[in-house]
Amino acid sequence: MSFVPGRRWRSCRRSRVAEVRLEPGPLEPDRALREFLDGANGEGAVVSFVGIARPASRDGVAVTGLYLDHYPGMTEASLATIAADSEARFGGTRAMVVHRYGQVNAGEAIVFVAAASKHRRSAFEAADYMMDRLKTEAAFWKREHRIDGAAWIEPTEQDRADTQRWSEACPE
Amino acid sequence: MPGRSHRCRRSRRRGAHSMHGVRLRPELAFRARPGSAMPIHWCLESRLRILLFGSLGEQIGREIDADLPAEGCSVASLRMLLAERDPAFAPLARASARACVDQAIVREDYVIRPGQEVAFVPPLSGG
Repeated sequence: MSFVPGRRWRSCRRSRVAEVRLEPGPLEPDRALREFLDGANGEGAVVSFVGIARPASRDGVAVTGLYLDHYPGMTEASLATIAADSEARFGGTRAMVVHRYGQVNAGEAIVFVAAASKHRRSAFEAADYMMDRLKTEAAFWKREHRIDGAAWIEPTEQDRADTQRWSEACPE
Repeated sequence: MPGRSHRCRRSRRRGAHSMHGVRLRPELAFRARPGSAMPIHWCLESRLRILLFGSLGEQIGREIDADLPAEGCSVASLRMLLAERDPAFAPLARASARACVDQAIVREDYVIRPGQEVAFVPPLSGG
């Protein structure tokens, strides 16, 4: 399923259902990593990434937390598409995405992404790929709670450029 | 199916018998608009529930209703219809508010049919 009409992602075969999860409560990255490692399938490299709610906005104003709005059904599908595409694009890679929704306090984990592969390069790239696409294609909307009021955050030009760089032909 | 022309007989049945989960408002069923040159089945309307997320949900409300002709209408027409109905719905006419039908982002010429799930969403921002 494409979430952005007109964007041409190279169509990739999907071999298995990637592991994705939405967390209403605190996300525990160490537990998620343990779970991911327990599912090891002979890979030689595992890369994980944890996104944490920053205590300050882009312009330096103190932030107490975030509210992540989501669209039940579509949000899970968007995460599954991103994870499955990464598995297919970086052949033999196994992927996992765990994402918070609802209220997230500053300093808490928002997202956990992990990729396992035979060799380290594709695992690093798969994790990077998933994070870039999550920023602009995962069905979430963030409201930042700053000390001077609340504001909805939209992806920056940099976020869009980061996603765009993967739209070129995927390596074989 | 986007852009597919709809068969009159089917849409008339759909409206009259509340098929595919579409419930007609009794007062709207079979009501011809005075002076209208449209076929009568164009006047069969069904209530469409529209979901709003993120800043749109906060500004306008999480859910709004609209009357959808049994023939369906394009995303672009729905935007205009809503913006004309209430100035508070003006953000829905902006290009940054993307339309989703049955949980997938669709183009402006996509024709929404009764019974489909419709939502408007601001730019996505996860991670």
